[in-house]
Amino acid sequence: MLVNIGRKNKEIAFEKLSRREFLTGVGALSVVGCADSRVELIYPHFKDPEYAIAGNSVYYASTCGECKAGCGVLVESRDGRVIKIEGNPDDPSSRGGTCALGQSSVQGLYDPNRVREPLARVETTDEIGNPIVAFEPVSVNEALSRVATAVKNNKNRFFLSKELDDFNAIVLNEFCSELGFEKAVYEPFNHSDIQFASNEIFGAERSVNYDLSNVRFILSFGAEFLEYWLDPVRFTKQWSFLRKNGLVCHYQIEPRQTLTGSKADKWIPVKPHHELDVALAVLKGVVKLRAGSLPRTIESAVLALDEDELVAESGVPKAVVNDIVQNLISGGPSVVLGGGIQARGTNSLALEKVCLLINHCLDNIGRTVLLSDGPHYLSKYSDVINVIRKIKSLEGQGAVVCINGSFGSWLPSSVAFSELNKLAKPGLVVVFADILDSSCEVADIILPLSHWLESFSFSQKGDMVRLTQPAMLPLFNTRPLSEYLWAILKALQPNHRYAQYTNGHELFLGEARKLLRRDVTESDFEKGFVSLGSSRSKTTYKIVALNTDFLHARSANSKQDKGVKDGHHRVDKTEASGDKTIQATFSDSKQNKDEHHDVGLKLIPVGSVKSWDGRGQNRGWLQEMHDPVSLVCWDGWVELSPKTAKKLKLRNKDIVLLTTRHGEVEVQVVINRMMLDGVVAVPVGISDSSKRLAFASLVSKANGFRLFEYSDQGQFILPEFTIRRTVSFKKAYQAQVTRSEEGRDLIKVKQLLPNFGEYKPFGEHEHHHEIVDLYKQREHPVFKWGMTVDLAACTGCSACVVACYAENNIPVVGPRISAQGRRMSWITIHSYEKRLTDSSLRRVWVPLMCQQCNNAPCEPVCPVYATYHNEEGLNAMIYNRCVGTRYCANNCVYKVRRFNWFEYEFPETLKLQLNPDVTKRGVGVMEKCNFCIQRIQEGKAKAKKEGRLPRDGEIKTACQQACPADAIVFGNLNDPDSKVSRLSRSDRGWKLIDDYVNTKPSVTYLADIVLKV
Amino acid sequence: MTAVRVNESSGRPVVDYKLVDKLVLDTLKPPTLGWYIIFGIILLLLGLGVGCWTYQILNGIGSSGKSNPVNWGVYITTFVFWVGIAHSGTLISAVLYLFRAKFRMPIYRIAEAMTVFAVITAGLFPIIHLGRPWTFYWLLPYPNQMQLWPNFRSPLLWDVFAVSTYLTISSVFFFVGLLPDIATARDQAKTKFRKILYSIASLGWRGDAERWKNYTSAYLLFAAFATPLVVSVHSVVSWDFAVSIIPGWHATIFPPYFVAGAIFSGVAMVLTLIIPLRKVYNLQPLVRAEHFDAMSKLILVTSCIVGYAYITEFYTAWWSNNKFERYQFWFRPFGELAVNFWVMFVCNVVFPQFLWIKSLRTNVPFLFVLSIIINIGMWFERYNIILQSLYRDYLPSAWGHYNFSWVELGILAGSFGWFGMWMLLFIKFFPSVAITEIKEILPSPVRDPNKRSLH
Repeated sequence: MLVNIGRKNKEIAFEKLSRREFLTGVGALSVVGCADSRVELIYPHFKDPEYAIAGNSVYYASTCGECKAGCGVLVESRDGRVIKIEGNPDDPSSRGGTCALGQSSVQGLYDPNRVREPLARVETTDEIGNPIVAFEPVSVNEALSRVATAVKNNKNRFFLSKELDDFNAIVLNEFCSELGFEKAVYEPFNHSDIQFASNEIFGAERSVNYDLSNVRFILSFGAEFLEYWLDPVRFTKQWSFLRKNGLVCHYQIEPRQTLTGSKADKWIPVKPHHELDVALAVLKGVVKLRAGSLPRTIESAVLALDEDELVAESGVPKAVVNDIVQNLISGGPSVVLGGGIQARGTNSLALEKVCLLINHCLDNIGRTVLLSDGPHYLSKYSDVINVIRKIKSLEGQGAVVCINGSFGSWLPSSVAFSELNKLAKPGLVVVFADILDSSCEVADIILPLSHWLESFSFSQKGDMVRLTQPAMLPLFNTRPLSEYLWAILKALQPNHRYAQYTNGHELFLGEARKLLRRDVTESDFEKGFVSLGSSRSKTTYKIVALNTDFLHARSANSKQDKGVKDGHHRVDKTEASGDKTIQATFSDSKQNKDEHHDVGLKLIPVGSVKSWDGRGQNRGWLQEMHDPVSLVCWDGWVELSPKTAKKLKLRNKDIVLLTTRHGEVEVQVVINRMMLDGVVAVPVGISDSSKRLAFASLVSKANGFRLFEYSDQGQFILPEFTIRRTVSFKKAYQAQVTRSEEGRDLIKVKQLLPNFGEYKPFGEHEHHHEIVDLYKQREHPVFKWGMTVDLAACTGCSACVVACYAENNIPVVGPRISAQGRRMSWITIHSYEKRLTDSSLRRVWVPLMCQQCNNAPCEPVCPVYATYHNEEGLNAMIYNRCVGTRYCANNCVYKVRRFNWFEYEFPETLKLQLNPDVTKRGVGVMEKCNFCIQRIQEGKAKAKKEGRLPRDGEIKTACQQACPADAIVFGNLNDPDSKVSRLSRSDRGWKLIDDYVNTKPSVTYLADIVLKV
Repeated sequence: MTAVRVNESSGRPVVDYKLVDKLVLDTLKPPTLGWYIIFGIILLLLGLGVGCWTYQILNGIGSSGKSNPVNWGVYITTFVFWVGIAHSGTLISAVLYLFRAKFRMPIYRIAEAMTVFAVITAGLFPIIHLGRPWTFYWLLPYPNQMQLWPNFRSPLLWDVFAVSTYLTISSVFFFVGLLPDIATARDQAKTKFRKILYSIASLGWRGDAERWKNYTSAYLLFAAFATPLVVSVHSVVSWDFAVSIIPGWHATIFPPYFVAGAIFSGVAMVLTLIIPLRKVYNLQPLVRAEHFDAMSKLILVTSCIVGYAYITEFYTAWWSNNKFERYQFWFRPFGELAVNFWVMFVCNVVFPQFLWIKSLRTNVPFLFVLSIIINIGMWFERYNIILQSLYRDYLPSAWGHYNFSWVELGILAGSFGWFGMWMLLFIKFFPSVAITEIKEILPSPVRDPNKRSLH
């Protein structure tokens, strides 16, 4: 039996194929129409492999390749195509959690805008003589030979890359060093500051990571560790376990509240880029109490700092700093985290150093701060700039420039990235891309990359090596980066050791063997990771005597950022021709200081779980899910505090033009109460400017990256800006009309009192009236499915939302229909601002799905029984029977029913993602959450076959599976010992609006917890 | 035929059998250019509506402006509006007949026609409003091999029965009332087509005593049948709202409030129709000041009932101490949709108060304007009830908006076209004023010695 998976003329004998490879190959059968002619099956699939049963899912353990964190995932594959990403519960770090981005990676795989084959630039002119740039397909061999020839002919060789997993990074390193490429690795959301800070503090290359599994106090300077900072899923897992029991206290210091900040017991607003001041004050406080823990030079320099001045500049009261120091010293294990997008000022490196020093003083290093000697493949932003500078100074010598990553949208306009193609002439610009993003515009050759779901890779994290394996054959004519590099290297240097490998897979096996010191086995792949064993004993470290200049880095900061100390602010009302534009102008000049100099508006970048640095830009699921903080979907926004907005005479949902020296965005205003006055926040990475992307092009002029300039270290320099109202066709939409409870006391927040175990409620006294039912209640003989949602754990990260889209074939409706309030998501993150005390407001995230009421108001009003109560306690929907009166949706107290206003189509390749267990709903039909009834049926069938009832926790809904915080628990309420039963009896439990309408929901919410007010 | 007799002292025509015949049968004369122009406009409106509906069916119900929290909008509003209009017809023809209110006689035919045509207009809207209109018959309890039955607990199903029953009874009642008049028309018909049409439609009416006896008892019987429907149909329609649990809908006051509103709007619509008809066809001798006065009083009474209901709603919301209710009734006059509320309130409660002035009650131009104002107000009443409650219900985080669309506007206009088309055709084909009933209250004709017979 021979299977030809040949990369041109390469036949692999079946005997040498592992069972997994064979399956992967066989799996491609169903997508063979989309794949290219490389797949030829000589023999049909007449004998099934033991676990490939038609109609059943196969799960491949793998490692998510969306960000550097690399969470363990199980890739659900059905008949040869990947349909869903599940967290791998056996993974020791992510433990089954995923994030929204990871959940959406299937849509990245099936993105209709993926580059399907190598493309080459063709420049022609039209009749009038305007240049036309087009890309035409070329064969892989031709593309590679053109690259190889160019490399041969050009001495100037550069490689710009995003951060890569270790396998690709190793190959890239080898490639660059062998062929003399000057390499720069950069990502806007990187964490190189931590790395470089630790290099300087400890005098050695050590990777820094954090362990929150046993921490009692977290102090975070803007680090969004529950969203996209470093290793968010693992942090959320660890934090949520403690949080649910009220065991961890968390302070967050940042100018604008992030999701992470919203979960803090104390959210402390600080002036932008003044986190360092607070950190220094805290350091001084800690050093005073822990004298002798730092080298003498540093200690004396720290003690010499003027605390009052520091505190005064940052805008954080001194009492708060003292409180923080108290907590750090007296509590159990603590951790100080620094970083995050908002804190990434020119002094952020110093901030990281100070955080490490505080951690050191508190003896956290080795306990909550982990150091390991593992390699890292980082370079500085300055390297990128150097590379670009060098290309600019070539003056026609020509260069080979390889680009991997959307540098086009990451780099500020001053870099003039789009001219790269011209500058590199007569050389060649090679872009490695998975989708046609902004980088592709400068390409001469575009080499399509395989998705991580289609390739082999590994990454080392601490003492663990994570493995990535393909879950299906490449959809298009693509290769992994490593394979391209290997092929070019092999062509140019036939004697290189890589030449021994005959294909990319062998290259992978060879490199993995080098790392593991043994072959990768099938059972490794079944687990998804290899433990290297704790051969490394606890890393010893010492603080090297270092230059104490960084303690004074803060003054440098203020100079570069505009409009803080010396800046003044002028509100001009342009009165000419009744034009009601409002301009806020900022300048450094000292003149006109008399007016409004108390106002120092600052433009800061913020991140969003929905966009990260823009890597999910072309995924409808991420575009359509609203950002939980701003409530905006399918667009960018600018956030202002109510006071700032009033000053600028702007209202919520106004469309404004925000202009800096570097670029402009046209976005809607979002009034955000949870941010410092005087701060204007724009999200970065919302979308790319490229017109080629189907989804992303629907969102234009929204990417905050265009507004900023970076320092040499890649940190944001806050620019001068103007903001003015414009007339636009853009329709502003926000997912909620209000965040207020309107005095209804719907959401419960409880304070955990010092004598643990007792809760003090906020808001009105809780009233429990005795409810008398006139009617006999329904009986649920065996199962009564129920759910609990722990609001103390829910971070609003929206992984559940995306997971629900993926599991239930929920259509993406696009910006126009979304703005009409017609999004289809079955679970949405609602948010409320709960007033705890006069001075304290808390944002609570409420994932709202169908409550599966026992007295469901939707059921009796349906004239055709399209919705009814089944004997397992679910409000079942019969889509076929629905005629679309929409009475059920009107009568639903929770407004969780979604109606198909149109016939929604799934674009060609995205169709492959559809879950075959769930029907697609047509136009005019109501739909809603049904607790993943297909999973319930699957679980019941499996249990029945084994002659038992489903075990507690065996059936998991998609949202529950995805939740990194384990906030959602699903199970049988008839079983008094099930986890869901136990949790629903919790002191914190309550049912939403049930007090008033007696709907008897099956979902119990557990009150949010605060430790301090 | 002889000329119309004129009262020598007043100079007004004497209303006798002849005059009645002449005036009424004159309406059946071949249409004038004006009729054709109006009919053309009406057909354009209808065409617009049909076009919009076709577009909506092809494109999806999303072409209307509804969205997630506001799932009902213009269509249900218009449905309730037309059902309401339909109401007064039966009230005027059946209830007032049983009460022997004489003022109903010249207007009841037009009111009945209005009823039937309003019901067939209203009946379209639940279908237009469906997400899948081609499955509308699933709401009917028809035997099928899958043994699927509709849900008898759903108010929407009650609607189906209420509206279809109402359509059946009112059209039968309408037709029975028409019989003697069709016969009159038959006897004087000039063209062959009309002769055949009326011969068939009059069911061989001969006007002998036996027939009159049967006719009057049948008419009484149908009037008795139809009377409970006056109360029931709109009560059932109001249950669409009252049975739900949405604040502002869930109210026990709804049935009487809706019935009163329906009579209110229906009488106003009768005025809107009869005033131009009277003018164009010179029916002044038949439709006189006392009739307008009586209708005005009916409007005034129902306006007061409706106004009382509006205020009661606020009172109950306050008295209930239910936060959701209270918020809703704060939102109505002061919230985002306050304009709708005030349009409704001013049109329905404030303007009709002018009818306390006696001279205005018989001032025909004023009544015409007022009737249109009331129609607008009553449309907004339903719009108000539907939108306001759906805008702001239980969870503030799930509140939302409604975006009125041109498709809905087109279909709304089309409904007037549809209704108007039937109305205009009816006027040209059947006597739009009840000849026999008017004759009943006229003094019996006295034999003229010069003529052999009387008509």
